[in-house]
Amino acid sequence: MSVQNATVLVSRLVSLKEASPFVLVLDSLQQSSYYLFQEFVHRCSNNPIIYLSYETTNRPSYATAFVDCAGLLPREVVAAVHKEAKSVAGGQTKTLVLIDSLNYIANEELTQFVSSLIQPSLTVVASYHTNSPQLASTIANYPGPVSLLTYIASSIFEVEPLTHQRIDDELLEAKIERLEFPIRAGLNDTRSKVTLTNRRKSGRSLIYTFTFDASKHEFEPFKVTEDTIGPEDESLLKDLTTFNLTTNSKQRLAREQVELPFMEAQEALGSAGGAIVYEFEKDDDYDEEDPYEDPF
Amino acid sequence: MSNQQQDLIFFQDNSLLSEEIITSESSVLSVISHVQGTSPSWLLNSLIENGLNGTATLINNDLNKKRSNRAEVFFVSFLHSKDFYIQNCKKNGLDLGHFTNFHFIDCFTNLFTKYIKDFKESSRGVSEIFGQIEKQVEAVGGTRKIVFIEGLELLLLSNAGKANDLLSHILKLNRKCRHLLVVSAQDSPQIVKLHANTTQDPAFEVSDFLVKLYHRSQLNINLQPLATGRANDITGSLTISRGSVPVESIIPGLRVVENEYIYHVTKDASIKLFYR
Repeated sequence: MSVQNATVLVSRLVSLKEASPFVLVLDSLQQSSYYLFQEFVHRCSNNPIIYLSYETTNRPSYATAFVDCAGLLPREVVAAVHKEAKSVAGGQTKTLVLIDSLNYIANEELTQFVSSLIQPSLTVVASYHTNSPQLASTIANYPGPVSLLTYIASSIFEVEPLTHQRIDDELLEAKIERLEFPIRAGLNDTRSKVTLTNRRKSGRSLIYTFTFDASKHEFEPFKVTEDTIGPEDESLLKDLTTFNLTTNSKQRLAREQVELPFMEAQEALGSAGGAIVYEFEKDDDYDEEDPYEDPF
Repeated sequence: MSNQQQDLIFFQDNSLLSEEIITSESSVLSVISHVQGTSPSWLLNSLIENGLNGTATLINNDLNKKRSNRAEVFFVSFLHSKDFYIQNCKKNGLDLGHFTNFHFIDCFTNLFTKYIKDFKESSRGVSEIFGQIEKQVEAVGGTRKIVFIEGLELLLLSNAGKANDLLSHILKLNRKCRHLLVVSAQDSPQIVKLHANTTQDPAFEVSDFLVKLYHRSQLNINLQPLATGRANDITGSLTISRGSVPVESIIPGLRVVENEYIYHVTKDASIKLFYR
């Protein structure tokens, strides 16, 4: 699929024009799903929106119905949603169901909750916080919540911050592990990186990466910038001295084709496998008695 | 590092506990986190002062206009008694005993003797505690309410409460006030361990609680010791960062000013802040 088609696909998905009953948004402490949710809301202004709140304090102004799920059992939530869906649905329009995090539902109940929630007239968009610690299941080999949810989701959005050039990935990871949030690292920014996995009816998955700008409501195909490719940027060597430190393409090709000596050595010893082979040379002092030999 | 001493601010209107939040109809959540060695009591004293009469004498010279009864300030503590804060706030020139708009809710003194006697029924005890807190917050009239709650990790570490239950109580409490500030320790790996996967590990519930709390906060304030080790003239670093839900989505026009300061609490209890 071309780049243009990918942008069309993501636009159709967030405006509920593409059939995708369960959209999973995987977010983290580095980049929350807030702006992506707002994009759904922005593009679905004509659709009724049911907001299921497990952690949202203030009722959003755009919500046609707001269900406070804190303290409710999953089946009670499902019943409340179906009741609201009947009352808010007008005509043929699809109803958007936003769930602010499936982290509050026990792993063993997750799939049942999602599958009983889905109806032909509803599109469920739910976030899941990937940083939350996961309780090991009491049932042996039972998959974790992320595996389960990504398996049943028809589309998956994975949001990440655009942190390149600002902070080292390992340093950021270490800080987040200790729940520290470095500033000026682009965390929870309006611009983020979104990876979309879309499952077609055939079962084939299509994966695209976008740069998402929430302030402009734009999805652009993610471009790997030159700086992220590697530190061997020859433009830095220009005009440093009167010597020519750079190489042209012909020289680079020639350099790549040079056979390195250790490669040759490996070929010569290839027959000996991994063994250490000692080859006598003329100046070597050969002793008949081996001092390390076992005397017994 | 700049040599000039700085004023501490959280929001772009040069405020700590913003007037826009207190006068709004929505509720805001902030998390103040610390580790052993960087106790936030100096910050809490100043924030209590700011909530009560609008000033913050030790940390912001620009906030010098006194306003009596600015907001109703509730301080819920699972770690300290009222005397602790009365004593501490004297350094800020406050006598908390004389403020009618200061309400201390002591959850520390009788926690394991009255509320949670039997750990098998601890969830009922926790519900009772939060019921009492909500009742006391509701009993005071007006909407200009700021609530501080500290030491919730104690409930989780003592296995008295579950993260999801506490978060549900926190949500209800947050809706009853304009600004809720949750103060928590987050020493790693003793208290926070994101890879914990069993309830036998005491860090599991606290980590779960804090991660979910950070996912709903608008402002994060973190106090850390210096990564390079102890220094005579620096106590630690203080990071102000935006939370997962932008504050501008709740209070249009308000924005968190992300900044990192280094601070020094001197022996005479004065606070010096510098940009990092």
